Amino acid sequence: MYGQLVEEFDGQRVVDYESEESWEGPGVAYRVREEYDDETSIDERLQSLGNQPGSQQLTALIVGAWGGACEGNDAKEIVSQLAAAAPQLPSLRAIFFGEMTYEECEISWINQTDVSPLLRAFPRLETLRIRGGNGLSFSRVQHAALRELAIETGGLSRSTLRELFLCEFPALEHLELLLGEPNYGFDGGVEDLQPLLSGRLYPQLKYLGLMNSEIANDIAAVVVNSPIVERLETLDLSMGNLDTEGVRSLHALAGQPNLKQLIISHHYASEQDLQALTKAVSCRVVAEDRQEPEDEWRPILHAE
Amino acid sequence: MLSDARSSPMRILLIGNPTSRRASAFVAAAGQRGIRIDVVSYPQLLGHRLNDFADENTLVRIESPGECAETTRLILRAGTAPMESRGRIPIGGGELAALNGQRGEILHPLQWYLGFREVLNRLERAWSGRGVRWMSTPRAVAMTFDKLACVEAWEAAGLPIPHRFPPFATYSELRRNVPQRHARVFLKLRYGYSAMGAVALEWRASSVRAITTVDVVWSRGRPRLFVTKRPRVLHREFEIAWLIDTLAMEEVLAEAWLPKARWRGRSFDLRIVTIGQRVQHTVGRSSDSPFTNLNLDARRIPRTDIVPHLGAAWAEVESSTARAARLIPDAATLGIDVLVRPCRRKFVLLEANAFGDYLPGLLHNGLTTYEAQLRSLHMTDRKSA
Repeated sequence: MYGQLVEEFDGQRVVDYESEESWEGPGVAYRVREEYDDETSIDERLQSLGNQPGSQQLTALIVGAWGGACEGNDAKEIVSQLAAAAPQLPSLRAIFFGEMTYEECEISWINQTDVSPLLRAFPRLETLRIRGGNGLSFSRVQHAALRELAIETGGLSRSTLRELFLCEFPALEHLELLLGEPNYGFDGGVEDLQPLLSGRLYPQLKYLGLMNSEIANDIAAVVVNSPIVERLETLDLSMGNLDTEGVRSLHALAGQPNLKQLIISHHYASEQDLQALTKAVSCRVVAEDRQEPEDEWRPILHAE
Repeated sequence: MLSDARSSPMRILLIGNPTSRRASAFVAAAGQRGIRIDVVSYPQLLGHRLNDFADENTLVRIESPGECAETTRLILRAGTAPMESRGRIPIGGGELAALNGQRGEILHPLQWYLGFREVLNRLERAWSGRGVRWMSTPRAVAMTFDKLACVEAWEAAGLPIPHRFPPFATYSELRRNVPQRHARVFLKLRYGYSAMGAVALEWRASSVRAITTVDVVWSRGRPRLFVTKRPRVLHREFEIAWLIDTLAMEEVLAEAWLPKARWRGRSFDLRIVTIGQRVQHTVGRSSDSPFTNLNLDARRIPRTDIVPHLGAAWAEVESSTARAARLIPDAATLGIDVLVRPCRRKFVLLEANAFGDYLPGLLHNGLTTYEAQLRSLHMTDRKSA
């Protein structure tokens, strides 16, 4: 569950942008959001932001809850409004789209949309983070600058994954996919990750996160022998339900020359499992936030 | 209630748990001002002739009857007869004697309220005729323990409060009462306090979820309900329905669950202390959850940050809160909770707490809430002398 809105994004302090009185110059990351009793819409806030002196230098932007997000309104309009604001925000490098706490809207209740118009409108975008997997779509798009992509979901559908893998992101170095669980929309399996694991995509990829997954053990078993792993500096399997079985699979990472870091925080493995893993692999192992199984159930971090 | 001019020195009688932090802090504050003060516990008081404790030179401060198992049993016992006269089956006899509530346990709030009101009535009957003076009268204290009575009084006076849904006895009835496809409803025990039994409920089509301060522990085949500092999120409808049905036995208030304004990324509300119906101490309470009670570890936001954050709306918040305090007559002090809407121009009054002045370290004009109350007494006393 995401209980808090971020205070920092893309290395900058976050400021809620409500009106021109909120303007603090281009050195901070602004968040635009909408409450249901707001008199000002996200669109009006975006336009006001774009009219500030110095908005041309603005590099980071967060789009928070939109009106009716919790009632089920999707993000389609907001995507086109943000895309339309692109000429006023030519330096934008980082977008966090759909940042909401669970109190505002459960991650699995957020209705996303096709976000490709954002990638087309901001050809110099380097970081895109998206929260919510329902309805999320990528109509085939090529983007030469995107270096970091994160998709946070309680359940990512295989059709979204397939669309994502049909996009071309030649500069992508950092990919986080919070896959989620079947109750909330994850309807795939490790086989749906094959295009990614085969190493044919993303020649620059150094950080791969296959996170928040209910099939973390299966992913661990497959990823260790996949071609892409040779290229990685960080493998992130955190937030999921990795346990003894998955941790044992990870011993096979022993021979990976480039791997510097393995992250498995929020796991269900024992202390002995972790010691054995640390001994087996040469990279740094980050294994915080050990979970106790509830009976036989091993919940992932972000589901509903 | 402080109008009687008396020549003999003022003596305060504090009724409360003598070992509680509240009592010790108030005693210390009185001591610093050279005011005589005695503390009597509820069991001591009610086990003796009431007239032995107070006369016309006594100013009575009724403190929280919390944090004491014996007091809880005594209050519940006093609630037995009123429960029966409502046609409800009270817990009594052996069950009551064996009752040993743990910290944070929710113990029969309806019977507890009826019992506490009974105890307060007894004090009023015994003492008011004898010229005993009160800081807050028993009647004022009792009124704040009925959340519905407070919001109804405010509503009648045209003060802003959250929209209220019709009363209900079960979760299904609540869903029938609120037929919208999407709704956010905030439930709280009508006679609860300290975030006891709070549920932030939301549904959309066939999905439903509840964020709650209630933790359920089963022991010997029976559920025991506790207040938890880490709110739980429930998604299974049968579990949510069970919880709401259980709470509804104790009477639950259903209001609109309104979004709150934010301070540094977290939503907040205001706890405003009124003393003598004037707004004094104000603190923002910010939290990651829908529950901003300080006993649930919400963070304090200083008045010096909050007031500028509210801008022009503050003056209106202040005057409405003072009006709200006047509608609970004869309350020397109240802790009134105010929800500020995200636009920071609109607000609603949530509830009043007779014991809402326990805010250690919070200063206004250099005084704690207790010091400010003692000072206001002193001045009133001198004026009337």
